[in-house]
Amino acid sequence: MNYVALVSATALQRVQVIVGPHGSVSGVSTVDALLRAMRSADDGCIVVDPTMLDRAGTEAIVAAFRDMPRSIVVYAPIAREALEPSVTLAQQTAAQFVFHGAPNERSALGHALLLAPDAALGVALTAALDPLLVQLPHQLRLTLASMLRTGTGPATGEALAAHAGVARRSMDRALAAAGLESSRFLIAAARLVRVYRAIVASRLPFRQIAAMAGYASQRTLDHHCTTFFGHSSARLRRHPPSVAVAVQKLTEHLTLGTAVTSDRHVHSGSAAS
Amino acid sequence: MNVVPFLEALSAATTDDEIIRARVGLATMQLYASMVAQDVAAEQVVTTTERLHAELQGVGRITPPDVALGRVLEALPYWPPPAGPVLGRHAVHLALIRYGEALFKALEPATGIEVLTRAAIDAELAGDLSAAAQARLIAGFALRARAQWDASWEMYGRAHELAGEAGEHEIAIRARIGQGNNMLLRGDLPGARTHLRAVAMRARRSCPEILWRVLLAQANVESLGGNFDLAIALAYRALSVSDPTPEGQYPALVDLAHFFTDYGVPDVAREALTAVATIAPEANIRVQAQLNLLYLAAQQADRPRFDAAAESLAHSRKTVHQQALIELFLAQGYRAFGELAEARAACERALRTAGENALHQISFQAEEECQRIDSAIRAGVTARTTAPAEARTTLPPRMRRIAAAVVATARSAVAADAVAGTGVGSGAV
Repeated sequence: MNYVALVSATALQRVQVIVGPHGSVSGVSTVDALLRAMRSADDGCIVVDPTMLDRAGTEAIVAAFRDMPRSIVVYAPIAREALEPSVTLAQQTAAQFVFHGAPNERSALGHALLLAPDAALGVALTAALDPLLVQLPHQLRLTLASMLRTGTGPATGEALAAHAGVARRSMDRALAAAGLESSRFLIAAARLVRVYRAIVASRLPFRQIAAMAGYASQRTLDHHCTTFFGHSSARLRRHPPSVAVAVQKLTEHLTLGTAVTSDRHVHSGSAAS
Repeated sequence: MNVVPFLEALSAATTDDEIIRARVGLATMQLYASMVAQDVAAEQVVTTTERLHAELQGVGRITPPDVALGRVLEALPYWPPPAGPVLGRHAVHLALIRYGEALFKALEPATGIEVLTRAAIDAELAGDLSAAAQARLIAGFALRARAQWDASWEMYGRAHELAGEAGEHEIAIRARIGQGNNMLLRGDLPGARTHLRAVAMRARRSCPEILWRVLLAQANVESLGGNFDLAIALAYRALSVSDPTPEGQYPALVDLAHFFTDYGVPDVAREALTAVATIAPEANIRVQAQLNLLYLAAQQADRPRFDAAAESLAHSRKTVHQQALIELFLAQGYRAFGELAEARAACERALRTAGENALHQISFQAEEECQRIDSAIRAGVTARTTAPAEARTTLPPRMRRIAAAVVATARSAVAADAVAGTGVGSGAV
């Protein structure tokens, strides 16, 4: 994967070390250069420091994202000048956020870069499920939409309910009433959005992908791939489906009352269980 | 929220700066509590934080807790909707974690632990398990440093659980490392060894980028057990697997220097420490390296280097923990030179600093040092009492290779830093 970064020199070095042999990293010093990279035909990931953006630059990035979704990693300090552009990017793109100085900064940045979600897949999936998502309570809808768009978010049903500010049973009832599958399926699907690009468009070992994404093992990752896409991760890498086909398969498994396959059981699949 | 630590800090304040810090800190945490309870409007949050920020700017000398508190004030306006439903809260939680950590490292460990605990509870209730795990991880370290072993163990345990639920392997493994260090500090070397071996296996499997932390913890176990060659091998392995950046390499270099000192190869230790003290990007790491140079000079009874290190540290910004260690090492050095009056005075300062800030580990070490000094005084010692520790003249081949590699790494890091400083290696186009 190609990475284009509008960040400080120190942050650029950190990105280069993490990406290593898994991609190429180039630094830019202006928003215009970043936008040119976003609009290029090459698929890639954008890394941006929001303290280097003004309001016009932020809006230009949002507009470019709407035209052609890209993976965006916002690598930011928690500072006044960073939070307004960060909030804009959070609300209007599928950006992932890594904050300077957090205890997990290094691993969080590694996950954000190497497991950059397929932005087009996330946006298309969220759009396809929108008629169902709008039936959910406001905060639950926002949380789920963000989770499915970015592939990041709560890892358990209880955490999802807490994030959405509702009781677990209320959440389960709301999901069923909206015609959506259980929170376990939704969380599993979001995790696949997260790893999809790494599976089909990178050479990262599957075992490493599984470990970074929080799967208990590579076997669990393959089980989820088979459940949702009908193929193992290795097969997906050899014959990657189009985004439209991937969205269709995910949507089928996330909506109640659609075609049921023989293998609809999905483990929670987390390394914590 | 328990405001007692803040009120105690306010009552103990003697200067205008200390009063401002305590007042603004207390007001900020009370504002935060009101926001969590949804008792304050968004506009009022903005107005209040701006006023508190302006007041904080009035302190004469900015300290790390002031900077961290400023970040909290900058993050708070993004809490109330519709500005930042998820992102804003996560940023506030992280800002609070950094504020609590800064307080603990500075002058107010009790207040720091209170902030960290509050951040951990609120983040968990809000479903921000990642931030909750991180807060508990740091709180576990803070409690361990205050010798509150049981509370530290439980805090680390909960951090591990939350990190597992959040998919934060690094935090989960660091929590396990913390528990291993707890066992080590309580004297359970075999238990710590077994525990960390299992943690290392897990790190290799699920989070290899922090394997270096486990290896350094294992190295410390072996060092305390007297297995210096094994400690050096483990620390060198940590250096090899860490990121080839200043931030990645310096922790291992500092520990390697310490182990080579114990192993009797002070020249290698000094080379590594001097490089770290010169070019480490973080001031805290530079001070730590200077601390170790002071320790080394005291152990070697090397007066010129001892004085140079003490002079350098006198002008550095230090945490309370580091200040206590400096006094302790000064005491050890002066005792080695036969200057027992100075040694006693330094030891008493170390005891006072450690006692006032509940740094129990350093208190124990300072008490032992005072006993040694008193023994020397009773014996009527007036001249140098300690011969420089003998350096090894021959090393096993493996140790020779590692020593050469450590020196080479230290020198290449200095050279790389010099290049980066000119902008040639910045990578920007």
